[in-house]
Formats: sequence, C-alpha cells, structure tokens
Amino acid sequence: MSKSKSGKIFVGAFVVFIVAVVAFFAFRSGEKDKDQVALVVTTLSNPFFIDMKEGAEAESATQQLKLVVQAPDLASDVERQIAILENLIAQRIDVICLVPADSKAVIPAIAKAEKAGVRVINIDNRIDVEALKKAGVSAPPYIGSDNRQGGVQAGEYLAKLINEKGKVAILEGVSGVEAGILRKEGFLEAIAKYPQIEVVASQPADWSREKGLNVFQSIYQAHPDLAGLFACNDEMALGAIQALGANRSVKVVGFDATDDARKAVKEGRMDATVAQQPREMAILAIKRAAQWLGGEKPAVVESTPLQLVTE
Amino acid sequence: MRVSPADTNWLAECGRWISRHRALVALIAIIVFFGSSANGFLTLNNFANVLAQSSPIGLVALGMTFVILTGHIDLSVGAVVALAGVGFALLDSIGVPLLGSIAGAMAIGVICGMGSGVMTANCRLPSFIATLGMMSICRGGALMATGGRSVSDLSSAVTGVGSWTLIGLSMPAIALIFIYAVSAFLFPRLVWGRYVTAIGGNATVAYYSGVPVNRIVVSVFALCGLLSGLAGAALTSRLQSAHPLAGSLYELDAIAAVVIGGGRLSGGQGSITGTFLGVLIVASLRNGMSMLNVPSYPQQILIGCVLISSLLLDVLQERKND
Repeated sequence: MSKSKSGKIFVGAFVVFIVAVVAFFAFRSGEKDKDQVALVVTTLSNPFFIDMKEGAEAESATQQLKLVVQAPDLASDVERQIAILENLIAQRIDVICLVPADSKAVIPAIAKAEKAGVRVINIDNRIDVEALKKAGVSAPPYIGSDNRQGGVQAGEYLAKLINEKGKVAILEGVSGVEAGILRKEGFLEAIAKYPQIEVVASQPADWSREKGLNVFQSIYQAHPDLAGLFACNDEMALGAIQALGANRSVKVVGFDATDDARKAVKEGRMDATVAQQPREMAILAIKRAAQWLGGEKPAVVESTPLQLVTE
Repeated sequence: MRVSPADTNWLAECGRWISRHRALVALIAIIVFFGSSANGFLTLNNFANVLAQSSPIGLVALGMTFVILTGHIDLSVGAVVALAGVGFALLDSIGVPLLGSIAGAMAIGVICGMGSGVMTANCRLPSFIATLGMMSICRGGALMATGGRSVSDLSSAVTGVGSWTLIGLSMPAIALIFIYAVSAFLFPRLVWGRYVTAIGGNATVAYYSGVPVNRIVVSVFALCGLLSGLAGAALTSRLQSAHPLAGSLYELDAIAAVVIGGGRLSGGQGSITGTFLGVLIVASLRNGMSMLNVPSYPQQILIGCVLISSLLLDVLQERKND
C-alpha cells in the first residue's frame, strides 16, 4: 500500500472512531418520557462530589427521574460550568441541581434559566443572595450545610488542640465561592475569642490537593513555628499533610470528611475534619426536585447537619 | 455502462473541493450530526450560546492566526486574557467608564504583546520560550494584583454588557463577528498583511526583499496582545467577575482553531475565515457533546483526536501535491 493510501485509511479510521464514540453516548439512553434532572457540580475529581453524584443516582432511580451529571474538569473553570448550564437550558432540561463554581458568576445563567422556565435548586455552595437581588433574579431554593457553623466548630477544636495559643494558617478554596468564605468566617469568629492565637497566613489553594501542598509548603517555610492549620476542604488539608510528612507538630483540621480524610484522621495524620453529608444533600435535592415537578416548590433554605470527626 | 472520463473528473473535482474546504465541510457535518441527535441544538438560542461561549477564545484565536502566519507562536495569550480581565475589573471598580476600562484592558494586552514581540524579534529568543516566560509573568501578575481572589464588584455598565442582547446575540458575540469580518476584509488588502505572510513563508527572503521583519513581528505580537486584552474584557463581562486563573489553556484551543482552519505552524499559511471556522468547530463540538451528555473527560480526548485528524489530512494533501 502506498504511504498516502495507508494514511487515508488511518484518518478514515480515526473519523469513524470519533463518530462511533459520540454516537455511543448520544443514542445510549432513549427514555424521553421520563422527566430529566441535571446535577452540575464544580468537578468530578473531588471525592466529595463523587459521593454527591452517587447519592443523586440512587435517589433519581427511586424517583423515576432521568439523571444527567456534568461538571468541568477543574473546580476553578467557571467559564466551562457556565457553558454547561447554558447548554442544559437550551436542551430544556426540567430541573438543574447546581453547585456553583462561583457564587456570583453563575447569576446570568440563573437568569437565563428563569426566563426559559428551567427550575434550579442550589446545593452546597450558596449563590450570592445580595447579587441575585441586585440582578433582579429570584433566589433558587438552597440545600446545604451551615458552612459558617462548620467553620466555628473547626476553629473551636483547633484552638483546643493548640492549647489556645500559637500561630495558625488558613487554606482557602477558590476565591469567590461562598462556602469557602463562610467556613473561613466561622473559623475566624471562633478563634477571635483567643487573643493568644495569631493568624499568620490565609491563602487560596483552589480546593486542590496539589495546590494545597504547594501553598502550604511556602507558608510553612515562612513560619516554621506554625502551630495549626485550617483547610477549607479535605483535599487541601491532605495536600498540606503530604508536605508535612512525618512532622506532627502542626495540627491540621480539614472540612468535608471524605473517605481519604477519614482514613487520615483514623491513622493520626490529620487531627479532625468537619463532616458534611454530600450524599444526603444530593438525595434531598433530587427528592425536592421531584416534588417541585409535582407542583410543590421547595423551601427557600434547607440545612443538612454537620458533624466534627476527630477519630 | 462504462464511466466516461467526464464523470470521473466531476467526482474527483468534488473530492478536491471537499479537501480544500475541509473546515467548512466539517462544520456542516457537525451541525447535521448534532442537529439530528441532540435535542435543542438547532435553535437560535443555542446558536447564540455557542457564539457567546466562543467569543473570548475566538478573539484570541484571531490574534494567534497572525502570530502563526509569521511562523511564531504565542503561549501567553491565556495569561494575558486573565491579566487584562483583572485590569478591566479593577479599573471598572474604581469608577472608570466602560470604554476606558476596555481601553485599559487592551493596553495591558498590547504591552504584554510588545514585550513578547521584542524578545522574539529583536532579542532573537525563540517565540516559544519568550511567550512561555511572558505567560508566567502575566499569570503571576494577575494573581498578585488580586491576591489570588476574584474581582466581582463590577458596575452596572459591565453587568449590563454581559446581559444585553441584539437579535439574541450578546455584545461579545457581535463584537466577535464584526472584528473577524473587518479583519478578513482588510488583511488581504493591506501591505502589512502581505508582509506578515511573506515573513512566515521565508523570513530571510522577506528581509532581503525589504520587509521590515522586526517591526512587523513586534506588531503582530502586539496585535495578538490587543485582541487577548479585549477577550479578557469580554470574558469578565460574561462571567461578571474577573478571575486570575481565567483563560487557562486558551493557547491550546487557539492554536487548534488556527490549525483546523488550515493554518500551518511553520508559517506562511492560514486564513482568518479558516480560523473562524476552526473556532466554531471546536465550540460546536463541545456544545454538541455537552448536549448529548458526553462526560467532560472523553470530550477532551475527542477534541484532541479532531485536531490530530485535521493535521493528518493536511499533511496527506501536502504529500499528494508533491
């Protein structure tokens, strides 16, 4: 076979492969008679959201709803999440359960949803209510943990662990995400009661383990006498623990209680984490979505309980 | 019945037309495929969405076209988008009127672009390295200016731009179409355009023919920076906030769009309409796959396959012509 002919066959095979894969996904599900609900989270690389996805899958099977789960690759990719929302709205999906990647940037998309008659339920990370009001968009029902309360719990516990004195640092999430803002606020509120505790650093690490490791390394280098660390999520906490290695002089408290974090706490590598209930959040969201489709609009705010995990 | 020479020529002619207008044919095929399989794809609303979603990346890809035409590459575009977007938001938050903020964003872009251009042309650094360095500087600059946080207290002028529509198209989308149309019209008619293509064809020959190579290269990078700055403003108005991490991997999408549209990285070949088609192809592929609920990880793989396929077809046509 001449070079150009085999090349053409190769390209042809490539094209067929592409079409086959897309067709596979396209024509896989044909149940158009079921109501459709979409779960849009910030990324599926975080076990917290995988738990949420599993909860949603289980409950939508019970509720006879067709579930679609979509997310950008990076939790910081707000642009991609907005594109996902716009595409879902164009498909006239029935309900969207949304964990926004940014508490304000999604508001234009929420406005579009409202105009198109697509119902939105806000989960976990709350969309900024003030900004919604300013934009003239009605606030979607919210289901989530009281993040502020969780921050307070974490702060109280860390303060106790370091004997109410010393330097502490905070690893924040992606900036502009209300969940992170509230957890930090709660933490600061709790440790404000202890004048001998000093916050020496507070830096964003984008909810990621890798960033958490890198950012913490720099903080620790600058403050080798650091006594405690509060990370607004477990991924970042686990990154920081990686940076510490066998060094146990810094007390670390995370947030989310993912499986990896629970294991770390049990093994003594991490000191505590605040357990949210992502599975329950998702189950509740799907249940409310089904009720809404039946004509019963959900409450404005519904909280799922938090729990401090220390062993 | 024997096939007469006239018939075979017609078929071959069709084949040749298709391979010369690969990008257009591919876009039509994509529209037909997703139109028939994805619910809601063939609606004006979705079309407006695709244009809005591709306006920041589209502007960057246009700038990248000129850079690639000269045989260079600009890896800093995504970081410039972020830096200019942050600059735009910061200017807006201190009360600068909308046009002033947009001008500020473009100015930031031009400065970064000129920096890259001077390093490439005058200091003779390979553009890959120069713009890689610039990317780091701009990204760091954006993070430093915001402390890693997003800037979201924007004036109503900006939030208005983000949500204002004319016949369903948003302001950034209209700007995208307008700028592409003007560029496509002017480029073949300006001496500058011919210089750009000549440099990409063979820089040494161009130099000895009297083309002011260094100045043209700097201007090309500056123009790319300007468009990236404008893209930063467009993105910020669309998200109604500026993120220091915005524009990640834009450079790859922009290069893909240029190459899918017929551009060659060695320079001298490429077209503005081709890039526009390339941008639409990538954007509508993503849009269509998203509407068919293809998970995002396979989407990445597929876009990569499309890019490689179009490059392969290009190489094959080259070989055939030899």
